Amino acid sequence: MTSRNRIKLGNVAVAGLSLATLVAVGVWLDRSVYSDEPVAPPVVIEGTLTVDAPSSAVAGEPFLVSLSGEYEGEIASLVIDGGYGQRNLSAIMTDGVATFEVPPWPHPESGLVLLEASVGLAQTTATMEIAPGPATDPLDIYLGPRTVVADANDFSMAVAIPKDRYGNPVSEGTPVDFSVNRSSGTSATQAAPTSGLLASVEIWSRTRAGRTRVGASVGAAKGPERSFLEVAGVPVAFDLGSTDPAPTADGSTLFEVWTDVLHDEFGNVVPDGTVAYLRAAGSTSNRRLRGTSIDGVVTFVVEAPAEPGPATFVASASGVASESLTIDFSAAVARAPVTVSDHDDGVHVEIGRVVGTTGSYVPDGTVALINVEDTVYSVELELGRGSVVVPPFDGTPSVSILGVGATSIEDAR
Amino acid sequence: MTPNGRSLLRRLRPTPSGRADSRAARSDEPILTAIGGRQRKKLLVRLGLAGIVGSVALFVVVTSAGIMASITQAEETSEIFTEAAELPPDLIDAVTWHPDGEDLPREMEPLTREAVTAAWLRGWEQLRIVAETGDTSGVEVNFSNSARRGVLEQADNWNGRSVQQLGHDLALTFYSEDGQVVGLRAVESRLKRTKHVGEVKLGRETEERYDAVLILEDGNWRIQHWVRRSFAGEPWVVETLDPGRVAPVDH
Repeated sequence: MTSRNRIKLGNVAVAGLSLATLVAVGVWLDRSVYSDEPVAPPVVIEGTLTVDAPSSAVAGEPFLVSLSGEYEGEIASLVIDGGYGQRNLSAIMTDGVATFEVPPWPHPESGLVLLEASVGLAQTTATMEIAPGPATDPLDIYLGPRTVVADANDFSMAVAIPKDRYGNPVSEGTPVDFSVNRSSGTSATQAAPTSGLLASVEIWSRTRAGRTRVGASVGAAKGPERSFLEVAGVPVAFDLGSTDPAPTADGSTLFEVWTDVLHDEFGNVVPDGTVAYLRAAGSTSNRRLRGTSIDGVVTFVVEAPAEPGPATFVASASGVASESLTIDFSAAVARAPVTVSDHDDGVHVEIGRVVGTTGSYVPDGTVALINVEDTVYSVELELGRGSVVVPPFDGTPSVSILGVGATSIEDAR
Repeated sequence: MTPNGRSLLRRLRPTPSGRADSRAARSDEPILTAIGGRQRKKLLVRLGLAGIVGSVALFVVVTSAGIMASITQAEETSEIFTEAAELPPDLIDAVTWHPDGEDLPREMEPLTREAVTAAWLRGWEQLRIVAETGDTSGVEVNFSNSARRGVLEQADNWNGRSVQQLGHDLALTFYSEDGQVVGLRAVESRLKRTKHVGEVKLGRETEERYDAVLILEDGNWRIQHWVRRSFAGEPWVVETLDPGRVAPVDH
């Protein structure tokens, strides 16, 4: 064999060795991970372990659990399942017994607790009751609705969910005292036992509006104060009032119409912000205004009509209508002279100076209407005076200012 | 090729007389001896390289096998990443409500009942997520007050155990006048509890009864308390083998 062949043989040997290593590793992994070789199925062993535990314990206190079975020297596990999670303990089986000193658990766990003990595949389960301790501060208190009608026919509800120092809901039937302090200064206590982890009472309204404060206690344990408002119900019939004397019908003066103090049948003033509507029907137009109460009174600001005559006002709040209020608006114009003269383009109609009932010119912008042969012309007055040129016509024009006709007409044609 | 390699080839090249120009070629000594010290070193280098290649291949094979094993055993992978907020539709159908009592302070609205049902299911689903993944980020959404404390403070104790809900029979025991507090009784909650003993996964179905209180907080119903009142469970049975799984340590 030549040297070259020997070297080739060496290379082949090295490659073969590497390949054999890989194949061996692959076979080993295949057998260990993906082996199809039949494996004896493991079986859970029941009935070889016995748990000895108290039937009940108080939350937060230690207790003993012992596990017996013929598993000498093996590790025994105890899982305490309290609903939200688990605690894990382990002990060595000695003389057929493993004893677990379950330490205090300062977390919520009350109710039926599972004790799952095991040694390998030997399993057993027992249960015991963890009783909650006494209620402690603060109590969880909920209250609602926060507003009720003070008509002795409505109620709010207070709910207390007392729990012990570890967060466990207290035992069923634990009495809860609800203190109810009215705005009138009176107080009372309503008691209710816990049922379904909570206690509740209905707190009925009285006939006096105000804030009612509610507290709850279980023995010495108390919680934060809650409160609700008792408010007036539907107001009784009411009247309207207005500015006296009423303004003239100048179409611009603002005046007020107000309600009586709105109160319910028990005299409770309606809450601020109660909405009322005012319906006004007059010689000029019909209007609907919205207002809100302050200290029980709703005030509406209304513009005087532009023509004299009666106007009717009716307000309504919570579906209750007021008595009707009628105001007779007098004329706003005291003197309105008119002069008619020839003009190159027709007839010149000059109005003014128009003087109001206050002794001054009517406000600038007041409109005068001139009716000539069924055609109406308008002109805005300035400093009580205005004019317009209309086509030639015979007869006397009809002039109206704020619903008042001309007090004098001078025809200079 | 290195200068040394060229030199070696020159020395091994046959002469015109057909004989190799080398003492080693003329002798009958073993190969390693015949090829001399330099060639022996070269062979050792080759063996070393083969060893490195083999080690790398071994590493790749072992790693791949581990990944494959973990994938095949994690049948619950998709379940783990199911957020509690996204309830499987079949779970909604797995809830049955008992008729409401006539002494309830207030009649429950249909939409509120749906919301309370979802909150109850999400609570149990959240507990499963905590048990299987240790992820507690959603606990605050579904639990409040004592229940939140209870779940969070024991989140690290599950040790391979888990609980999966199968169905619930619920009864409304209280509904406050303002619609803020609900008292609930899970007359029968059907659960699937699992745990691992070494490489063996055990499971059993249980029927449990709970009293609970749910609170409407920030527009979201949350479980404030639940207290187990009764328990009945089937025996543990072996469900699967998880080869290579590290046994949980109960302590």
